[in-house]
Amino acid sequence: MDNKNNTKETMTETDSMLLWYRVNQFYNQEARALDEEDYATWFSMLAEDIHYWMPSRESVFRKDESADTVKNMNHYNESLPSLQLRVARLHSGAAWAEDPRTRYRHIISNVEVSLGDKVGEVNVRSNTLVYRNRLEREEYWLLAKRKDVLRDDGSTFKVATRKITPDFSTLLSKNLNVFL
Amino acid sequence: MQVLDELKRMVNLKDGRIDRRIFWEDWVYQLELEKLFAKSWLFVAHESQIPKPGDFLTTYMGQDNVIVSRHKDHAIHVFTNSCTHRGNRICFADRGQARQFTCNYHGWAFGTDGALMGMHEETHYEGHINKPDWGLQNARVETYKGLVFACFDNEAPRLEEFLGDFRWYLDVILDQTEEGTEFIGGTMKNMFNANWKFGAENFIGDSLHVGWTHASGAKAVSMGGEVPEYMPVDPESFHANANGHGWEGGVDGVGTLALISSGNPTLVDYFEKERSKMAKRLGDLRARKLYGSVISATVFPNFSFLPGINTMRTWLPKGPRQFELRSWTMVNKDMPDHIRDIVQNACMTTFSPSGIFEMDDGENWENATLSNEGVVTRKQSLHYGLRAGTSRRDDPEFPGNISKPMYSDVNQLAFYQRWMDFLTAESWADIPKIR
Repeated sequence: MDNKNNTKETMTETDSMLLWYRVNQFYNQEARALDEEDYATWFSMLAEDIHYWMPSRESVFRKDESADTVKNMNHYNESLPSLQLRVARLHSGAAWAEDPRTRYRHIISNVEVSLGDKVGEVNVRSNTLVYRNRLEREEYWLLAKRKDVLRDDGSTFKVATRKITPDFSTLLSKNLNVFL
Repeated sequence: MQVLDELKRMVNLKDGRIDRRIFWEDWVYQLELEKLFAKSWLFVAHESQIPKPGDFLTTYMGQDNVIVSRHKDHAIHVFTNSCTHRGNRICFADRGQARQFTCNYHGWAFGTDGALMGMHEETHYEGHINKPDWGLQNARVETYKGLVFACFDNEAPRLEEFLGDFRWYLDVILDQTEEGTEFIGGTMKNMFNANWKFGAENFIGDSLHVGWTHASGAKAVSMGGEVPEYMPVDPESFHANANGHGWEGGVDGVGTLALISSGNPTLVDYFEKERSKMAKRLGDLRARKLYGSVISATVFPNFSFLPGINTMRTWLPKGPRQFELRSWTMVNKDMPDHIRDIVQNACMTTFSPSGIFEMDDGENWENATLSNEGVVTRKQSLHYGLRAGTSRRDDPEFPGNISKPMYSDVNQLAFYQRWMDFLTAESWADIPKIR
């Protein structure tokens, strides 16, 4: 079932429910791939031309707030090849700090789905909670909102763009060794 | 005096032995705040972060939160961020624009120079307060080619004297072009459960961790191919230090540029043109041998940078076992947009919390700190003895104290010598002007 013939006007409630269900299934599979460091599966869920972006944030007065831009400091501002480069570090056999492994858990929630502007595109907003636990007592929580554009081929999706907006301004840990 | 005698025994410069308690003990840390951070010049901002009157940012000098503010006469003021009435913090934003800073508690308002201007229901105070006496505590402020430093001690020498011979090295990053430099893209902040000195000493001289700690990052960059020999093997690579500030690096002129440009011809062309321009300003030695080489450096006590990678950073102490890292990307003002985007991305990909090189540092520094919780463990001193005592001041090419090659503990020991100078001094009169 795809939505190629649907427009925002013709989507029935049942169509919306089905789309929401499929997107949730997709996100759960993606979360499991990331939890298990199964990056081959994760990369297969991303579009070739993906823009994967996580800006950093600062605390400013409300009057000084401005729109995010990639020109600012970014935790991630990635293409598929640059994501692959980061994973290559982990798989280099020399990432001492990742052995023993970090235990990851990704929880995706508050999924809101709507048809995108282009045929076959779906706009999704979600929240993500990422838990990291390492060695004896190291524990870090990350919370963020995500805004995705997914491409729907009728059977599954590819992530075309993802913007991750974290809720921290100061990252409370020594590194960011995880994808959200 | 007993405390100082004990402290002096903790650093053995001759043999290169250091007592682990300097990374752990609360009393050592309190001495650092009182005798080092409250006395030294400290990096607080780049001028480009606050270009217009009313622009401000907040940061820390030691654990003192300060506002760095551009006043209406364009002068930069640095003052404590704590109301003189009940002590509440006054400004809670990281940066912004303000005509004045008003305390949330009772509405006491301070100017962009820190002076007390007035308060809510001011009529009650008529005849009860002399406002000029109740401004915020101003630090001394001086700049060096765009970098803003502040100091809470009136006896400290001028900034130029504090930097001393190290200015010759700072110019390699600050004075490449007529227009000078700027910070772009805001501030990145993250926390480490580690002693702040591990960051500072790593950047001042730790060449040997690069090939090992960062092996995974180097392998990633090569994407499974041969790992390029980007670390200098040249016996002419060197450690240089002056007044506790230090620079370690190669002289091949290409190591870092190769890492950043990874064969991108646009970048290679750009960097080579910049090198020619720079040679006219700073001479061939710095343009051909230092520009582009693998280099890292620390301005004593806690401001570090990587030329070429363009990350600038400060290790802000938060107790003996925690620090906050604030980092920025610095570029030449005349750098075209398409080059800046690549440089900014390369800086983030390598040296940010998610960076493929930086990611592995924190793990080491945290555990080098934490293992000292063991009373037996922390009684065993640490080896800082590689080429200890080999530096000379009479190098024909380079100013400061020089030791070759760059694989040594020479700069780290110079850092701890300066650290000891401060911690054991009653006042600036006891601190050697030149080291």
